[in-house]
Amino acid sequence: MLEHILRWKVPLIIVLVVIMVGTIHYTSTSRLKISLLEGVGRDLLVPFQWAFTKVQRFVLHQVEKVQTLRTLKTRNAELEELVRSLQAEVLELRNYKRENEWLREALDFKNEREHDLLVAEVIGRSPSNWESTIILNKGFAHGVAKGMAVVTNEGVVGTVISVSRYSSTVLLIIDAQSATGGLVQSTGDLVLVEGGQPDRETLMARPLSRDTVVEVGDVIVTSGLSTVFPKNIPVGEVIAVEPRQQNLSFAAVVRPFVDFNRLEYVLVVLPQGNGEN
Amino acid sequence: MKYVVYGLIILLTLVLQTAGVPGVVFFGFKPEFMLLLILLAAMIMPPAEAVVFAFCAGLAQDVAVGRFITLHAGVFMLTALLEGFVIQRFYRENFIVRLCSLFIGTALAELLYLLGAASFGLSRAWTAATWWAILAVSAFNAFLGALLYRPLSKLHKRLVYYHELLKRTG
Repeated sequence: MLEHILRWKVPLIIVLVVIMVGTIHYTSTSRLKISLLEGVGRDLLVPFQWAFTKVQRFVLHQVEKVQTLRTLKTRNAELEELVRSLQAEVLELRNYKRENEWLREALDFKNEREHDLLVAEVIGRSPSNWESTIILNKGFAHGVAKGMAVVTNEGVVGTVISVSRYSSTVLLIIDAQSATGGLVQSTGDLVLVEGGQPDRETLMARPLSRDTVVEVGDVIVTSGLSTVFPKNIPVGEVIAVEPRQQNLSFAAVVRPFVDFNRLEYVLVVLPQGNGEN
Repeated sequence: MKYVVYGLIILLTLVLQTAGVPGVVFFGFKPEFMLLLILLAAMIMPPAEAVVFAFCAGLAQDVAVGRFITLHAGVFMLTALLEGFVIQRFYRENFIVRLCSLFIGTALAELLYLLGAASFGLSRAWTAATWWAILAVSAFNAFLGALLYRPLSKLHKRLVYYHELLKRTG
């Protein structure tokens, strides 16, 4: 049998190469849905990734606990001081809250929220150094769809690029293929925030107009002009501005607010009425 | 029996490679465990078996987490083929030979992947950072692989022995 197959070695290799090139070409284009094989493969991996990530996090937390034991006493004193100052702040904020509620009622203010949020756990990461993606434990069975925005309470994380029944892959904003519409919070000028920086930790903000002014310390937020990200979600802070050369456009280096190495839970932005809060 | 163990090894490596918390980071870059596995397989297994193993490992990675299905499979298969072809002509028990072949094998696979991805639209700037990443991952794989070769080789011999024993005794 094997000899018979080996006799047809060359035609078999040619057929295999043609099939492989065809498959790569087909999967390289933007697809609304992943194939059945990919869906099954990804869903099969979910429990293993989830379990391994849990074990890994448990070990890391224990190591961190041991490390913090040394500084526990001084840290405790600092926290007690912080609690005292926060208690005073809470009292003040309660007054503001009451006042705010009263004013809202007086103005008949409608609290319009355009999106629902779905909490998802990060169970995997891209195996390659050339891609910055994460894998979440929620898929289309939970209402996640391709193109949805993923955020944390700190800021923008990325966009869902593929979904299986029980998992989804998110392209991080630091990936070379990522580009997000943003605006400078202080001036309202529009910028394009791109990933793919050599350090894989920062972003590059490019102005969409020649009159745009960006300074170190400026905060970049989402513009809301695209259909992906809601408006005013923090992206990052400008840490450096490359000088204009020969009257050409400049670029600003932005440090994202999200620490992509420490992501544990994220929020998937769903259209309103589509998911759990 | 050995095919079940091969499957489990691929699954374990895939889970380790895609773990949610970034574990081992070498000069800011993640080591490519799956690539290291297929390079070691090319050194330990018979050539045809190593090529099929590399194809299956690459396909598993593509299906589970890849962006281009069969790109890793093709790259891994070609790398295993070349690695097996080259290592047969040298004394693989020599540490330096193992180190060099693993370094070159990893670098070649990374370059093939980047060229393949660029051909299908995922282009990347060939900056110093890109070359540094290739070098760092190659160096890591070379050192770790050279150390892992002997224990894995012994493990493989034992696995083949039990496989044959099971086959003959039913």
